Amino acid sequence: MITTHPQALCDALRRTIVGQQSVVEALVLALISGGHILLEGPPGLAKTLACRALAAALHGEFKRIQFTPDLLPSDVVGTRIFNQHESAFSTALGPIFANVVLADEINRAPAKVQSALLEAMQERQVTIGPRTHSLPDPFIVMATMNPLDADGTYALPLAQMDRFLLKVNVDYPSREEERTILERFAIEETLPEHGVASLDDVRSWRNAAHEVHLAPSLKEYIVELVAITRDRERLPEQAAHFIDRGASPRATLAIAFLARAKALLDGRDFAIPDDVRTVAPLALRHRVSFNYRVISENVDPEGVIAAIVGAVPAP
Amino acid sequence: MQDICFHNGLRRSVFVKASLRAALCWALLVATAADPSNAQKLQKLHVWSLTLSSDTAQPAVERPFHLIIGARFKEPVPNPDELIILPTLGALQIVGDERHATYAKSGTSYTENLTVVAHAPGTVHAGAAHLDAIDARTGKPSRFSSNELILSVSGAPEDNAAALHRLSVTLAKLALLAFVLFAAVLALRTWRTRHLSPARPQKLPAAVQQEPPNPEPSSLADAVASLRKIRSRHVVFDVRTALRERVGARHGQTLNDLLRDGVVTGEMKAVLRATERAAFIAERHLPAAIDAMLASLERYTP
Repeated sequence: MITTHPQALCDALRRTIVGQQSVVEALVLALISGGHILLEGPPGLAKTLACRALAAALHGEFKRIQFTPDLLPSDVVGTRIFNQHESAFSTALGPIFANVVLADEINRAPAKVQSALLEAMQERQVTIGPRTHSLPDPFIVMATMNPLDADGTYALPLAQMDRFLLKVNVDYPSREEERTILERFAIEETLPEHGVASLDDVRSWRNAAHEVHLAPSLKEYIVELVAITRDRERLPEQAAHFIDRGASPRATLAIAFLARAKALLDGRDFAIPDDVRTVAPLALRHRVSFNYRVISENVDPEGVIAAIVGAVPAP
Repeated sequence: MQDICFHNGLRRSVFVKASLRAALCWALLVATAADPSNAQKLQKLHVWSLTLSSDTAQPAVERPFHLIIGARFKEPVPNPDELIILPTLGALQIVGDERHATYAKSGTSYTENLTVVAHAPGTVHAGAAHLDAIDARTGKPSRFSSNELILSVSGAPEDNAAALHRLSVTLAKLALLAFVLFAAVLALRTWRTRHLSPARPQKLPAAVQQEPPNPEPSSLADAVASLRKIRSRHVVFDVRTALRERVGARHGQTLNDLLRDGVVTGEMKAVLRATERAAFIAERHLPAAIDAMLASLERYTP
């Protein structure tokens, strides 16, 4: 039974964050779907603020981990410490034990730290020493990446990117939005709204999303959207030229989860073709591997993804 | 002297003469090489290679080309150009000389680029380049020699027009070949598509193939009449198709596309929403959704 509609959470986030409609909606969709989110965008675009606002609105625990080249896996998941008074080892849990974890600049840490985080994301549990600890529920990781500074970064391999349910490209605000930011944030910091929804609400949203009806024709549509990324002959010419490798079956599952979440967010208990088409780029953009021509010919990958999605007629 | 035949066929007199000649040559070589004053001038070097090459196999008369002398030493050699004895070039005239030495931990590399020109056609013999040094491996004064070159100089050089003509003929041949190959590949692909993969259209999603699920009800009124009689999902899709045709929807357009384009106004929006609901809602809610759809259709007056 849903006591608070997820749209209320969206509205609360919109009152805190100026613009960034797609980011706000993607955060809530990821929360409903029980997946993790990758935010890519230049610094200063309210990525961290969005994550803090979400944690505050949920009354959940929020932790931020700044990824750096010298970070160790134990700095993320926790470690065993020898207690001299008791002459025994005790476990110090890492910052990953929170409801909302912001992994800031995830590509600045080496692969072993990324792996430790991604393992926790996948398994939703962490093993420290002899004991395995479950992560809190709900548990959502929001990782950010800055696409501009490539020096000293460790690019996330495709296999690891695949673990993120969706990826959002955070773009600069419009002039009007920027003026609103100036008026709202220049004088004093806007505090995020607290307690808009409870953690129980999040669990009920997730259960309700599982009940959303996905018609067989929509399932076919989703399968076709993913399958076409792997079939060079059926891809539109403007996409086939730039794609190296298609999306994995995780993309199929991700689109289905997100389409159900989108339907729930829009107040429906059934998904429609628009839901699938809206969420498909979120699930595909980090799972499709582009070749060098995207860079050499200065092509926007978003245009390629749009061409793929546009190539499959909706039912 | 009696001729004695050796098993290899050499006669003894010939053998003796050859031995005497070799001994004389050896004595001369030792006499010159063992000259202490000469040996003291030589550098002790590990000579790894000494080569002579040409940048063209078929030089033409009056057209400059290059002979390249390359040498590699283990040691750093301060002035390697002073060590190299240029080859005899016969009929070739030197018109330029460019020298370049590279020093690295791995040793010294030296390249001398001789620009030469031949004034007459025929075979030109370029002798070996030499280098005198004390071989560091044996400690003995030695003469290192490169390979020799035999080049065939062709007649008068082609003028630009002839060269251009030859180039254009070559390009035309290549273009023709590429065209033939492309046509062959295209024909093969067409043949394969038609004969080998008839099942390909089946890979398309059923929903896409079913775009006009039932083409029989050609008008919206017919489809709605069918829906009143047969309240099934299949007929709902018939009505949906007829409605989309009515508003001029293109193949594959979604509801939001139609609403956003502004072609749909007023009551038709409600009809399309109700139809979309009936088309994709769960089976248990379908009767109620069809009722709502029919009600919205009754309110709709085109």
